[in-house]
Amino acid sequence: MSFVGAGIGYRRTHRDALLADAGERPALLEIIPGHFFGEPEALAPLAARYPLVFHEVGLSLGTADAGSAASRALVARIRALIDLARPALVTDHVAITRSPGGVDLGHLCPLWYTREALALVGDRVRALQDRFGVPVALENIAAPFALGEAELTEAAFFGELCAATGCGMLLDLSNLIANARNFGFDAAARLADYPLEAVVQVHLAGGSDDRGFWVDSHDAPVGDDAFALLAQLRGRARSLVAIVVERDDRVPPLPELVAEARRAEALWRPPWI
Amino acid sequence: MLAALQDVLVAVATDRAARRRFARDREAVLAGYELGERELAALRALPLAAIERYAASLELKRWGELARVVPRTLRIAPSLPAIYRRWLGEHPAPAEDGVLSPGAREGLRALGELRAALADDRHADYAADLVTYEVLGAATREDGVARGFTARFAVHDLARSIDRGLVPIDPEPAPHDYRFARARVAWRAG
Repeated sequence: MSFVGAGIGYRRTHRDALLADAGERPALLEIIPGHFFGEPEALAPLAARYPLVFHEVGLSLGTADAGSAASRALVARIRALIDLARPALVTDHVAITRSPGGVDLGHLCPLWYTREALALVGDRVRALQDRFGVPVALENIAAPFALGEAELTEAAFFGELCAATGCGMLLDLSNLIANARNFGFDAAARLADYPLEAVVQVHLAGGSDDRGFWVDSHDAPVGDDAFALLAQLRGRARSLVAIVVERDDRVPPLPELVAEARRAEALWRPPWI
Repeated sequence: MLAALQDVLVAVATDRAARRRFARDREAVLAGYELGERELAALRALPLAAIERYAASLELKRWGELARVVPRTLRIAPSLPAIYRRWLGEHPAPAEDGVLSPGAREGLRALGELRAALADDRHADYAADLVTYEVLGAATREDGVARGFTARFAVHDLARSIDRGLVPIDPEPAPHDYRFARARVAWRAG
């Protein structure tokens, strides 16, 4: 699959502008499937107009249980939308969002990077690849805390996971920068540790400082440091399909987000190439 | 053993009482789970301040989702976030499937508690009706399941006033039955 372009996360507030005949438009849209579970028909006009990628947050691929009825139902709902919209990729995170005991976190919690977790996530990814029938990629998260005593680093976990399953990596450069700030390492140097040949999508987002802790709040423009990291990725992530600018709060008018996506695309694919 | 480690992590992140016990006597909490030496070492090293910050961020995120469902109630009851977060810390959410957004799902789950808390005399007399009107309306718009309730006030009128920027003060009681069906709401004076 070749590079499609740089797009934005779909938000309902932009729907009319995205479907209008004139105006600034992104090269692709990232869809959160859950936004369409109640009205799948609303996805069709977007799918007719844009290349899509799906981004899920609730599969909780690292939860050490036998798989709950809720996750099986979620997979079935996503599959139905895949049939409808044929996204280029389906992505989720290397993380947990619920406990084996059935408590929902409502957000991402870091996975403990062990061999046991690697085998578990690997089995789940293979099952998803079979079920979805489209390429699956997993994202690195902005960790709220670090879990010690792990057997693998995050980067090694991704390397082994991608090699074992053939899945792609969604490399969130802003999450990497957040972790670098919070846990004291050099994001640019760390980049080389990830399986860059498996990176099929990049996320960029703005963050904010919460009393000395950098949060991936998705409520601000993408920082220059994330664009700089993207430039360093050029030529090294040859499987890249999509770049997506994420914004969840303080969502600006569509042209502002499209401008950020265009800036990213120009870095990746300079206009003179 | 990975499962036990995850159960501990999620419990201390979502359950305020569990978090307090973890802060007070970490070993006693860990003794209640089947954990190996490596898991124990990882959990013993967990920085409490980071867990507190994470727990607060989870509460804030859930509140943000609920706030999108009850914007009018929030206008007339500024204490709503505190009421909800206090309750949430004692009632971690179960993992559930469904077509509802996280905010609507959480609104339905917390509705009884929110109604009860808003029914006291520190809030507008119609606050409990208004939160019910907003939560049931949002849920039905999303999943199409018909819902209804009986209100003490003409909440649709009060909601319209709030939308225009006017906060009704001491409206007269006017019982109404409300029925929600997809994007429509029907009412009848009772």
